[in-house]
Amino acid sequence: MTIKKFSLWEVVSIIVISLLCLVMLYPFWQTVVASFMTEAEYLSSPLKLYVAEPTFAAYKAIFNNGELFIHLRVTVLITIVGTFASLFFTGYSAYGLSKSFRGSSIVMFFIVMTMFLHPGLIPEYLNYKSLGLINHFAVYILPFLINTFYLIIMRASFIEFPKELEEAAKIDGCNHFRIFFTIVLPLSKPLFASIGLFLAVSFWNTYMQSVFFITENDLKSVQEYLQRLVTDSSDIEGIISADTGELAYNVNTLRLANIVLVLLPIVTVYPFLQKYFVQGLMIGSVKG
Amino acid sequence: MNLHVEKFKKIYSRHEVFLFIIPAIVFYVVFKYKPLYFLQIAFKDYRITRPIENSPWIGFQKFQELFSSSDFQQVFMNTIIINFYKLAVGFPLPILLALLLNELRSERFKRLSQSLLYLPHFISWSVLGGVLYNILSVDQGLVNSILNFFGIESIFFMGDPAYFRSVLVGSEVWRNLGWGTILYLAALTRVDTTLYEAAYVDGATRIQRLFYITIPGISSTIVVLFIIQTGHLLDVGFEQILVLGNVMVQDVADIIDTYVFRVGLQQGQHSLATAAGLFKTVIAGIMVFGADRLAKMLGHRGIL
Repeated sequence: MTIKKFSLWEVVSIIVISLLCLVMLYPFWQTVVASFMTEAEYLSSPLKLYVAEPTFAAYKAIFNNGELFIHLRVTVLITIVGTFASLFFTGYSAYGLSKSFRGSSIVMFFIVMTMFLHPGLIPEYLNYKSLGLINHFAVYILPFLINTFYLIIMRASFIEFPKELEEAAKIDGCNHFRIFFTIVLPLSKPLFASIGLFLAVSFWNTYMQSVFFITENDLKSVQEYLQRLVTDSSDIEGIISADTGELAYNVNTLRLANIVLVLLPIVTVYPFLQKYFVQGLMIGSVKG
Repeated sequence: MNLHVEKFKKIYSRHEVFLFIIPAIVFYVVFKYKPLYFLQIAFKDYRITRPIENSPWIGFQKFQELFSSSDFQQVFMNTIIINFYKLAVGFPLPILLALLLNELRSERFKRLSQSLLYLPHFISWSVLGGVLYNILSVDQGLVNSILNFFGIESIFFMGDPAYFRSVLVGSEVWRNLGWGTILYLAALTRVDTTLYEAAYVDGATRIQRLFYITIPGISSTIVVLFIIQTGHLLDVGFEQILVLGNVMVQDVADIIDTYVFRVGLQQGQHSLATAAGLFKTVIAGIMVFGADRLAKMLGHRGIL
């Protein structure tokens, strides 16, 4: 179908969208560039498209100090353990709930209701306290073992699963556990991949659990540590005063280098996984 | 349904199904329903030093205290103001952007720009906050340098109550503008292309096609998403304000969530904070169900 060979609207769209991309992404580029500046260059003008004399001074200071890596380790652990555990338990429960049994609709009702029943921060805190989860790594994982929204999506997809496959496996002597692992999981790979990605991003971005339920510094997530570095001067000055080297960086470039290191993982994997993100949202919008 | 049940019986016995759903039942009871038990402290004079069971019932005293405190009135107003501000700016923009993206004929450029525009959605508020502090910085920040270039004096965006809400709205748009287009783009692909061809043959202009075909084609998506948004009237972006907020802007940026956190966890007034949280949950529940009713009344699928 050709309506017009060349449209003014398309040109306008291309220009507006290109400008928008520039406005939205330039701040990130500026952050990366300035993090490689020497103090002198930063003070003369931090707003440059490129660095005249790039230095790794700020990054070296971060490596020598090492505290960032304590928190990165916590967040990496949260992301790996959380994503796999949540994917497993959400999928496993969704599979069970895709079968109808006596009382299954009541169970589903009580599960869906939790999307609207928010007890609030204090009851949640008291609950974690009664479970011994305050200042415990498990507070990052256990409350997110089953994600209700993804459970609903997965259940909808399992309901449409051909029953014949499961029956055949059953006749061949598979137990329910093996059916789940050898038939259901492999056949739902794209669904699990998309949901796993969303889960991984949200675990990587863990911030509030750390602020509310963790007081021990070594257990704080990297996102909270980063936020402290940005808004609170005591941590960042601690890094600088402990540094006996040449100090070719300043407070600002040091902050920016930290931001870049926390931003890096998402930005590196994003180009490869971007289509799964969109696919995942589409699944959610159609079936959820 | 019966057929489904029968087939199911052949596959799994009852106790096997229970093996599947027992973890879920334990999870929902322990992490979603058990906290509701602690809601009772909103109606009790609870102190950390004594167990909940021994705390005396005080009825709605904490709620009276809450509603008569000027702090909470301020917080409630802030929540609503920030939300309307975000709705007014943040809701129409993704629609406009989706319409622009829809004009693109080059698939490659479209896909590339979409990928770039979605990116901020996946970045945490801590990182975005750090980047924001940098570009909004008073001395040599990007935005203020541009303002200075046009002869406007530097603005202390992060600490000036007059500008802070705009920072919240602007950064929200930055993070979610691209991502917000996805559902509209999906709706746009479902608009019947033969309608455009017919309109073109009949001599409809671009603008006419936009107003008589494209926008009616996505109107139900617009209505449903708008209703969902208004249903979340009291959710203003807790994490965003925790990260970006500070003492200087507390008067304009303190919302119900941050109030609960400060009064409850930091000052230890558990009962008062729980009352505030419960109030929020009840209002939010009414809003969501009301929004759903409204959607169904207007002939849409509803959201529940």
